[in-house]
Amino acid sequence: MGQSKLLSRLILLVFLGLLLSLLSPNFLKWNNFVNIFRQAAILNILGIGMTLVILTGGIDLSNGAVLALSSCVSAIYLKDGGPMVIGIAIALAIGLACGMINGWMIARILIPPFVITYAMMFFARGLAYIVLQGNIIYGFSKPFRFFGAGQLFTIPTPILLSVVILALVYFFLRYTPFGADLYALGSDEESSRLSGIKVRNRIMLAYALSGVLSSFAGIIYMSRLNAAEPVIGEFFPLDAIAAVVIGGTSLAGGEGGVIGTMIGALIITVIINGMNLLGIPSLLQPFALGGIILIMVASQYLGGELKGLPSFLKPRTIKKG
Amino acid sequence: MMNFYLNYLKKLPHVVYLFAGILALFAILAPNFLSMTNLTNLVLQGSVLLIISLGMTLVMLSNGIDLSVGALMSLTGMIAGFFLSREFGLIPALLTSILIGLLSGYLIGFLVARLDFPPFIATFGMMGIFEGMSLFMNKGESIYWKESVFNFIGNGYLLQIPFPIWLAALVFFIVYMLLYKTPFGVNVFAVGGHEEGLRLSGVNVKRQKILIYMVSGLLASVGGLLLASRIASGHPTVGIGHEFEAIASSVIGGTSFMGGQGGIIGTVFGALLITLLRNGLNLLGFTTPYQYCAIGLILAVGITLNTLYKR
Repeated sequence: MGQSKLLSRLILLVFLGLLLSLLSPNFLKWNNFVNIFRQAAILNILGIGMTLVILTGGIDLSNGAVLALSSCVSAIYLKDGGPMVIGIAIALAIGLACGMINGWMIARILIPPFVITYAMMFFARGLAYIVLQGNIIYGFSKPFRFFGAGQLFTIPTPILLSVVILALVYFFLRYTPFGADLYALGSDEESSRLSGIKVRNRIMLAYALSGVLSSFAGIIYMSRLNAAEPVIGEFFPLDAIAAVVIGGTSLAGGEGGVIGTMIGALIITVIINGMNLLGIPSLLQPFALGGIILIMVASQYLGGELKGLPSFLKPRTIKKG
Repeated sequence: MMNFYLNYLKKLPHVVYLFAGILALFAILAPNFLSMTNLTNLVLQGSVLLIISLGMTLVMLSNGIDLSVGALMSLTGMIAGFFLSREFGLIPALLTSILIGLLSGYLIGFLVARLDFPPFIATFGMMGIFEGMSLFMNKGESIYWKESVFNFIGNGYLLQIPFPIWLAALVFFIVYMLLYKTPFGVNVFAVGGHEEGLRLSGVNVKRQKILIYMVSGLLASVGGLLLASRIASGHPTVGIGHEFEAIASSVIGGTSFMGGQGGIIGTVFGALLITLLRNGLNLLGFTTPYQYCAIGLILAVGITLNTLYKR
């Protein structure tokens, strides 16, 4: 990704911050700042997963539902007094399973990403309601609360965790063959197949990672709320897509990266935070988000990155081999 | 003769078999399922989805997408409510709503065909505008009206069959004739499959695209009116998500985003299949979450069948 593109997003973020500190006296308070970063942390983790699948030219509409399902199941286990480590492992395993099913259906059966992750959204959301039988689970053990509400060196844990994940995925994308393959197959699937990249494998891995990261975000989320309920995260797919496209990742695939997504997540959180501070009704907030997505995607069309219908609506065209 | 029927059966979209299989399953499991009342109820529940899905299929066949359908449904319901609650009468309410549907379809078509907007962007933007307008109309509140002839559309009976079924059947008949018996229909497939070839053969492709989006807008407003009439109120967010269900119906029915592939017979069964799952599971005592799961599963199974069979 171009440095100038990143820089422009950073300038936008700073500009928004300055604007809001002029408009609202509460914006520049330390608590508000920590709040923004903590809120952005979860969006950032989801956005990183979404970046990986969008880089392949796909999309993941199921991340909010997978987050809900994995956190609900693991909450039941934790509430029964199960060990924390296994509770977390269960959540991650569910995320992995959902992501792998998505990836397998997309790379093997050649189902359009939009359709299968939409189906997965229904399935996982329904299952989350079923396992909790309409209840809400709340009150977790103190050690578990550490992930969402704890602090390390006076920095809230979610922020630290999201930075660690960002660093790991950045390293993966930048310095391992996996990352190079992902960019290659996103921009030209046929020639990357001919050059020996295991295209199917890589696509499945991207969706599996998106699933795992969704469930990881779910752990932080329920630890912070101190509750698990099946309704959470309904608008997370939209938020995450917004973070990704604001961050400069192309919906056509093959271009972009996770640093941009992090800045995108911060921009969105600042905007939402600002709208709350300025007393803009929550009913109107989706319009702001939708408007931003519209402008970013429209600019991708204008820049010639995107043509016609986005590739996530269409099946992949992987040939045998 | 036998071969003729076999060939005919082979040509049916796979969703028909899926539909028949699940219908049979429910018929065995749920005692009241095959009663005339329930079957009528099933089609009645599916009528709104069926109508809007037909419009979505036309758009998808032409290599487009219409994300504004749900928001337009909300808007037409609010507009109808605006007129009915002020007792302006039935005709202005219906005419204005239909006109808004046609006009917004024209606008989208104009953006897509004349100004070269990508359909994804044009309709996503219009979705926001329509949703904003319907929230604006009564400051985010629903609109109610006194008992009116309007409520007949969604709740009335004609020859002992609910009126929405007549309406859905009529819409299907018209769209069927339009798609398979007129040059317009041939061009719908051709726009999606070979736009350049169609242009070279002297067809006004831009006009064709505008007309397709106008049909989609018209059907969305009819669907919105029907929905408003059924719930006897205009609700500013009632349509949200309907565009995705319409896409799902079309996709299960065998229409893809590749353009030019598919048809409306499959869409009808796709829409009915989604409704069938809700209805049947409801009869068996399964709550909404189970229906969610089942819809997710059947969507995956349906499109897997479509994909595997094609290869």
